[in-house]
Amino acid sequence: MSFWRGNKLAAFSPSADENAKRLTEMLGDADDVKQRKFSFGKTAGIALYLVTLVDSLRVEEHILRPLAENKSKNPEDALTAIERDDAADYEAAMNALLIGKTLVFFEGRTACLICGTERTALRTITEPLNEKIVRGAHDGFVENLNTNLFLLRKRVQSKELVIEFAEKGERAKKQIAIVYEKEIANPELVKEIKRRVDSINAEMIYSAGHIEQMIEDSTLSPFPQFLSTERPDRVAANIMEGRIAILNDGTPTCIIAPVNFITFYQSPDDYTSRPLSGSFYRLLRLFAFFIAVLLPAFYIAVTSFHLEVVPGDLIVQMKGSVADIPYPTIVEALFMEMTIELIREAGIRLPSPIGQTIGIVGGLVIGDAVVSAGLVSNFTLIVVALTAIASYVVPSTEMNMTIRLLRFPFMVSASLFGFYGLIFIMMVIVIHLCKLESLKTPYFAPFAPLRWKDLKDTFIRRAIWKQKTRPTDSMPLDETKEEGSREWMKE
Amino acid sequence: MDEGVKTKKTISAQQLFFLILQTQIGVGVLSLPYSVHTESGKDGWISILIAGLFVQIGIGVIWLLSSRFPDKTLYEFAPLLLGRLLGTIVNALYIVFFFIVAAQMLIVFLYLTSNWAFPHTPHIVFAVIVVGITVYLIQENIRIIARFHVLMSFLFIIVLILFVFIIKHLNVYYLLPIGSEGAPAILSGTKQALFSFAGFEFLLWLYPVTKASSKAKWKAAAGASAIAAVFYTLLSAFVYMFFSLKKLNHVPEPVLYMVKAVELKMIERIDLLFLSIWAIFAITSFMSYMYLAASGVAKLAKAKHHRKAVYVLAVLILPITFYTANPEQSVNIYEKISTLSTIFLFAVPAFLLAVAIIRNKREEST
Repeated sequence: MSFWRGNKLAAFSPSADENAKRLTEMLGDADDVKQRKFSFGKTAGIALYLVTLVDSLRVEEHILRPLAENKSKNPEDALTAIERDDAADYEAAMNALLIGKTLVFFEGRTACLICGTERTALRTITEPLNEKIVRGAHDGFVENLNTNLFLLRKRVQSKELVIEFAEKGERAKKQIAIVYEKEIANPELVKEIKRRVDSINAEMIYSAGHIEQMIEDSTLSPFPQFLSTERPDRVAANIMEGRIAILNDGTPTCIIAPVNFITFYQSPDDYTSRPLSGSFYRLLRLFAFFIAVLLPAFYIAVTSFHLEVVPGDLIVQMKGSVADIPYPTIVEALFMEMTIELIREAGIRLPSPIGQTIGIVGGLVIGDAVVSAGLVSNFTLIVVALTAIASYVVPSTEMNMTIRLLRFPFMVSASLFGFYGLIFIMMVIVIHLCKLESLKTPYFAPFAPLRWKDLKDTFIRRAIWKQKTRPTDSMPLDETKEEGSREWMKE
Repeated sequence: MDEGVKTKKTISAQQLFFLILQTQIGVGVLSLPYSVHTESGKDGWISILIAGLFVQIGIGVIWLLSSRFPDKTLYEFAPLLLGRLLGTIVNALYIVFFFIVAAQMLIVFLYLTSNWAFPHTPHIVFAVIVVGITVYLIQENIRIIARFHVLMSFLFIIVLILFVFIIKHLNVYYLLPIGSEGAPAILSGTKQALFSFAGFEFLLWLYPVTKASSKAKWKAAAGASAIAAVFYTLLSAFVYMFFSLKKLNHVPEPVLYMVKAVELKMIERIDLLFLSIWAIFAITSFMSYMYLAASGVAKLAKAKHHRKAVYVLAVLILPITFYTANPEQSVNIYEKISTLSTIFLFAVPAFLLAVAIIRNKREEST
């Protein structure tokens, strides 16, 4: 609390000049602090604002002009700014000033009036680039918190939707909003998340990722314990399952807890499409998970230890292809994996036309040349390429990173111990998943602990009307999701 | 969230079922048909079935005993029944027994592993890895262990699917005439098979932490053992239908040879896949026994958490496995532990039940 040292600043002075001067001093006489003097009948006063943050038109229209026109008896009534508040002390006044409000001081009064005059520079609401879907809503969060909350409120028009604000950041304040459905979300969890958010004591909150690291259960785990999303429909659906969303001003990303492993594999597309196709793509994604994590390791184990598991017809080609390569398979595979990671990273950083070029040069040229040069075998190339494709199937960026990381221990272990290496790492990861908790709820539910009833929205997605209850992992107060939607069938 | 911890009832009846099943099905899978066959020939599957029935009696005894002390494990109620000194001795003996069983499992695991897949890798490497993974799991509470065991149980589905592919290779006539080996041979095979069912005594420790009615706990434990019995019986019947008696004498791990016969278009040498699944079953059993031993040591040392005991036991078990690395020794150990196990699995619980009835000791659930 370095701003408020010394108690002489506790109360406002009756002199408007004095108040304005003090606040200006506190801001280090910054050049964008503007004082506008006005007089309303006999009372003089000062409007104080940061010219870089306010919408000048609003200051003019709603504060200065009405005061100059002098139509009503007392100055408060004259102001036409809709959002108005009284500041209790300098701290409150300063905070208001810093988010773009205008302070109005009247001579002879020890009070400070706050008027809402913020300027908002809005990016248009577009579909998030990293979470595209085919059917369903195409709106996405933006950097402005109020807009995001508007999108949520608009989507969940329920009197039970609770939005709670917290201001965090010791030096530079940022608003954080905690959103949940109070009749569904477990109050214990809400309390817990508030406790954790309260304890954040950072200088400044830069992004949702910062909050996540401050409040997640286990930071060193490779698995994300918060679902990050920029899609309002996804947030709304999760809130309706009793989960709690945290948004912050400045990032379009919303983080959601408690979540479990399977949440990262649920895409809004699954629910908008038909149950059969929804289930098919869910299964495909989970299958892709296994390919992305296990395929290169399995390939390495087979070529370096258990070549005899390959069926007879294939073994000749495979053996021939691998035998010509001077390096062990693990080196080949790691080399190709690193190449793909390089292409990916370079592709993100570069402007998009060049990014595509990199993709072509990297993918086609290197891929082709590396085989004809005899550095990498054809089979390795197929395996690595398939793995790369499979790892991008998961509809969540964090889980995608996790998958790409997880494959490396598997590959190393498989090159050392073959199939045993695979099962060793698999056991470690499953144990880790069994231990892991997201906001004190088991992360690997409904698989561990096994809850048969909740499996209806995991490997497959049952028809919406068959999902009569919410998943229990978020410990919802009310488990019923719907009943009797298909009553018409009986008539 | 925390209510489970407060009341100590942390696992469900379903988890109890899988914990016991996973503990029972372990290293024995590969060689049980062979070791029973040495006693009772082609009627070995009957021996195993009978062993399964005996185990049901054992479970009944344990259940009766545990339901008298619904909030206490054996480590806690043994001193109440036998007096402080005697109870502590019984506890210590159980700890040693569990530790030996765990060590034996590890030895068999290492032996078979190097025999079948990794002849050049030193034993100590796999020992360290397996013990490391075990420590990683069992330093946690029973709830986490239960979650893991439940998940791993789903590998059974793969095993059962493999069984379907074996059926066409089977010859039922090898089993006929049923029972021709005679009752004494069959019973001596039963004695040989009993040890494979070790794991049901876990109920003595799981009973107080399971949140279910007393009857549900019995159903879970008896059900798990019944499934294990059916599985083992089926497995050995398959083996006896697959190999003729003459051939069987030469294959100490007949199950792997049998699985090897399976031919799928996609993948060959299914035995390697089966060996990996078996490794998981073996390690889960090993984990259970290490957990039992560690929690006993922690109780003896009056420690709040069993974590430190786990570390101590993990360090202790490594040199043992390193020392006894040749197959003859491991077979010897197996014979001895097999006899020991009948005492610890059946005799001691029965004796404690008798004491409890005579001294009329009984506690109500809190």
